[in-house]
Amino acid sequence: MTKKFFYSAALACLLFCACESLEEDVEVPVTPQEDVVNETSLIPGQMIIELSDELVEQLEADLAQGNFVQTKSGAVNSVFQGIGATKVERLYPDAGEWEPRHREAGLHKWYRITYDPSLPQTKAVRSIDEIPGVVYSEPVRRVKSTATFNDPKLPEQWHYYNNGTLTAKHKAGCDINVVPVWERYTGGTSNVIVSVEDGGIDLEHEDLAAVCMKGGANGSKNFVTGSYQISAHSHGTHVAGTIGAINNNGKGVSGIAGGLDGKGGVTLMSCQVFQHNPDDPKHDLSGGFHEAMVWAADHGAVISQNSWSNVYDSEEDAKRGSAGSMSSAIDYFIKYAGTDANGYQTGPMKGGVVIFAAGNEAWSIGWPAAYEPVIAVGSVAPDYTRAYYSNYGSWIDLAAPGGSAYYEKGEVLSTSPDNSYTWAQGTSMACPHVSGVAALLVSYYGGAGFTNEMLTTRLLGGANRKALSSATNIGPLLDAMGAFSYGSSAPPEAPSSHSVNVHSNFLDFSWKVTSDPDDFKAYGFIILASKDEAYLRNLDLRNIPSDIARKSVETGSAKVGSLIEGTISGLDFETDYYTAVAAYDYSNNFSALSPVVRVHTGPNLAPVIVTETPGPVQVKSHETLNIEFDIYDPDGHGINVFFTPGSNAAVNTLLPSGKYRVTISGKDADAGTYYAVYTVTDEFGLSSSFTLRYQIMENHPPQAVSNPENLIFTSMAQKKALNMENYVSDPDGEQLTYTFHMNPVGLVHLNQVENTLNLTTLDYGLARVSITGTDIKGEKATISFNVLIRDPESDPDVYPTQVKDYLSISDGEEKAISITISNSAGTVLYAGSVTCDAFDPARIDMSNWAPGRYGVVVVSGSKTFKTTVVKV
Amino acid sequence: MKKTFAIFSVALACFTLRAQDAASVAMPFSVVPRNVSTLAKGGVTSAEAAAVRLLGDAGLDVNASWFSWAPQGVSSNNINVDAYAKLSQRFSLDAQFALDMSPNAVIFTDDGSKKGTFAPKDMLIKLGAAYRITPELSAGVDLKFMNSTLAAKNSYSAVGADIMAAYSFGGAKLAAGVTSLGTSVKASDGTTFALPTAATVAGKYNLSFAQKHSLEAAAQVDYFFKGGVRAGVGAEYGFNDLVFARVGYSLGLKSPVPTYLSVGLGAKFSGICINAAYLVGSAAIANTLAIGAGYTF
Repeated sequence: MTKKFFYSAALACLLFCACESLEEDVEVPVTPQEDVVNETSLIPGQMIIELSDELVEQLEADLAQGNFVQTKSGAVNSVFQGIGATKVERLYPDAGEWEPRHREAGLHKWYRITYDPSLPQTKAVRSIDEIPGVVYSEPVRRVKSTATFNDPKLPEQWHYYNNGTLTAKHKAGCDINVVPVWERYTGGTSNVIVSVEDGGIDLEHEDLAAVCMKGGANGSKNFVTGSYQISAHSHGTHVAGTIGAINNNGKGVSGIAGGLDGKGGVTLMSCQVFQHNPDDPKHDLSGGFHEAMVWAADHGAVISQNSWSNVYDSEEDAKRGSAGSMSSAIDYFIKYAGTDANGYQTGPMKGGVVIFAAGNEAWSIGWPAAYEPVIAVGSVAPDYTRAYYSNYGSWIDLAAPGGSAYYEKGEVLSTSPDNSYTWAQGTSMACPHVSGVAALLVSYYGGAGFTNEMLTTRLLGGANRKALSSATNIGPLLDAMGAFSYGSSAPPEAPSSHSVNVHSNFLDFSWKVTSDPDDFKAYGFIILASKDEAYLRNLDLRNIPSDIARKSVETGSAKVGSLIEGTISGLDFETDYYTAVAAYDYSNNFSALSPVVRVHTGPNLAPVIVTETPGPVQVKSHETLNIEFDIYDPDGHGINVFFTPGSNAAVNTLLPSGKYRVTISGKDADAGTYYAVYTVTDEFGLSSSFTLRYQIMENHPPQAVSNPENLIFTSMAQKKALNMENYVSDPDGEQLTYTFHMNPVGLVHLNQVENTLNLTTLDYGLARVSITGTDIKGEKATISFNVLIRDPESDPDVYPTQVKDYLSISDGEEKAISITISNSAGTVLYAGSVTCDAFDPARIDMSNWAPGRYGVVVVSGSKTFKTTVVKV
Repeated sequence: MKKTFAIFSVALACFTLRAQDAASVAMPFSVVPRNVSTLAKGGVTSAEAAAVRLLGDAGLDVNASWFSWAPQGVSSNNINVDAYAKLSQRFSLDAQFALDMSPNAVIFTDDGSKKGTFAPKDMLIKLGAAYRITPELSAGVDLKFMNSTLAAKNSYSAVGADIMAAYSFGGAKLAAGVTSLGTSVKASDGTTFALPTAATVAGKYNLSFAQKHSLEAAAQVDYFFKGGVRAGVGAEYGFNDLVFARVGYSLGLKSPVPTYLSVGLGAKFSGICINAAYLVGSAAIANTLAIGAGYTF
């Protein structure tokens, strides 16, 4: 499916952008598509793809872990490596609070891939298509319009230039193709007056004021009130903006005939026939339609823009309708516009053109648009389909973008009262596109002798008849460039010379842009290469055989005489080729060939794999070793990089810098010797390989080196720092992960800073602290020690008080104490002095003592402590 | 220095030997004198046995006493009530109840942590009878029930008997017999410990002179079957049968009975007597104070 799309996209590119005049020649491409795709209109190294739900879920998980090109999918990794992918990002970034709705709309499935820009995009497309789960792919087209004018909202005006990237539903080429006209011909001139029979134009709007006629006896007029007071109306202002919003003024939107230099283009006359009704906001006041059109003809307008229609109760009712009395006004405008009372031409065009919106009832008829003398305009959505509301039928003369609210950013963006800008849909929005292009034509071709019939011929004759399917049934698609070049018969001048730079099997052409007698300059060029000189010289450029390598290159904004370049790739190696360049115009007129130049292609060199660490290398079980590789094709061919890790320890990563990195993690494999192998194959099957020998060393578990002495504290908030490395360490020199445990908790606060365990006393009591060192393999060693927090003023410890065998006696830190034990009769049974401490108490063996009460007297320093214990 | 160390080592060895013997005797509280005047006279208890008293003049003797016992040792409060009644010239009965109570103490477990409190106590109940075989010869038997409640689930009991014979001639009285002959006590680990059974010989002599002065001397020797000898001597001076001064000495050699020096005072009026005794000497028994009251006729 994606391949199918790409072929279609490539074909569309040829049809709408480059080779409108090639006709049959480009419809039968047999050679690989990359030979015929004009990649200069594409951004190198970028691709937009749509993924399946499963692949999206997997890729999101990988990206969340920072694995932007090293995913869990082997197929994805292989392709990404093969095209030199350096970045994978969402086309629509996470939208925060709007994210759920974006996901519901499927926007999260679209990704932009950045890859090696030297890789032919056709190859990249084919590679991407091989990934299971890629349901759609397309190259990223250059956006010329943003470079054309500085109006900030122009990039969203897909109806002027649609490169298919505004949203997923926008299809490239579904526009009015006006940008080449701005580049080559005109942006509109002020002597051309377009009357807008509609709601009043906002005459103070920042993007319109300079091109609107003020209200007055020779200017705009309000036919609802019969005054010269124009009342701004959203519909009329929107329509006016599409025709003449000022271009290149750094504000808002662009207009089709809004000039080139920020000062404005054609002049707009507001013939107000609708007015906001404050008493019934849903129903405008209206009137003066007949008078308005006649007024416009009598006051200089040569194009009558009418985005309105008669109202009928039903389609059947409408089928019985007609233009009625309005036909008299229409006929008057067509006949007398641009002339004086004596019938002499005074304007840029003799006679007028009346353009009507087809209507929005989705009916097969609409009035007055169906009145034969007028140009009726239907509406298309951003994807070449008929807008859901548009009236249809053979009576419609042209289709133009009217947009659809069912598409995100799918409506037409234009001016709105109070210096605002809004999206709107309808044949009302399609109609001013035709009026705007008509105004451009009059601006360029207008003058003495130019008639409304000549205008209509160009407007209709230059329309794109291949863009819309017959089922659309709203006429051919408006094509501004087609209208301007319609009827061109003189081919552009042939390039007088060209130069070819050869590297491997690439031919880099350069030549100068040539002029065109009736189109200023060549619309594009075809660069050609053939093994047979005679075959090339006798070539029919309208029917180029498949065995001729060629590529089309659009002239774009390049001026006559400036250098332009193009590349042919995929040729045979070490072979003589004969090269030439031919120019063509938008009407498919070809120049002669440039002088033929013979070149000899170079050899194919094997891919190169270079590293500063060729190995063999040793890695301890806890170590991670990174080794970087430069992998490239000296010829600049695309390469596929395959990596055989040898064990789970080795992982290959493509870095943003374009280098490859092998990461060997000792923890991920058993001890042993392994071999990681890079195999790199260029697109012509030539391979190189590199074997890295690496050894994972045997792991030794951590060891308890020594036990810390038991700790005695005498107050709260006392601190002690222990270097845990002194007690548990790793024979391999590994930095261990230390954990600690205390029982009971709460007596000491334990805080680890790197390898130091900091103890701070919190409460009196005895706790046991254990420290465990764990290595990367999970092997452990543990040591334990006691911590006593004891008030030095407290009584000596005599325990247990219910003795079964030994009685323990101590008094905190090490000291000599005197002990006397007597029985219930008062007989002294034990008396002595011993040196002891809390962790090495005096132990009195009472195992052979009879059950009974015993008095214990402990003398420690100046303290005398008495207590009773029992032997049980 | 070496000489001092040698002397200390020998003394410690002797002490250890003694301690081992004395420590293995169960229910040692049963050898504590309960009569204040007897305590003041060096604890010559056998010289005051029922069989001896039956050869005397007293018809009824009732006493109650309180001891602050061994304040530098087991430090208990001992209370005692005893009665002797000569029912005829040939037969007497006696009874005694004693309760020794240690103060509340914190229970420390094997690892030194606290676990509540406890107040151990010992109890002695004795019932006896004496029979005068001839005007000069009598014999008596006292049956004893002893109990030590040491902890919530640690209570030990034993029964025993004191068997005595007495002979009177002139102003002297002699007594001999066996005390604390009875059952053994089994510790929690199964080891059994015998009562402080001893063979005892005692005698006393009363002398009156100048009508207002009296003098009594008493002595006693006990030989404990588990090892150890205890000897006690005491004397009492009486003035006008109204006030009394007493002094005594108890010597314990490997004995469950400690060595001490005793002194005491007493007063008697119309058969009612008040007595006090005070012990000095041994580290544990020092400062023991006993106070008692009784009625005798």
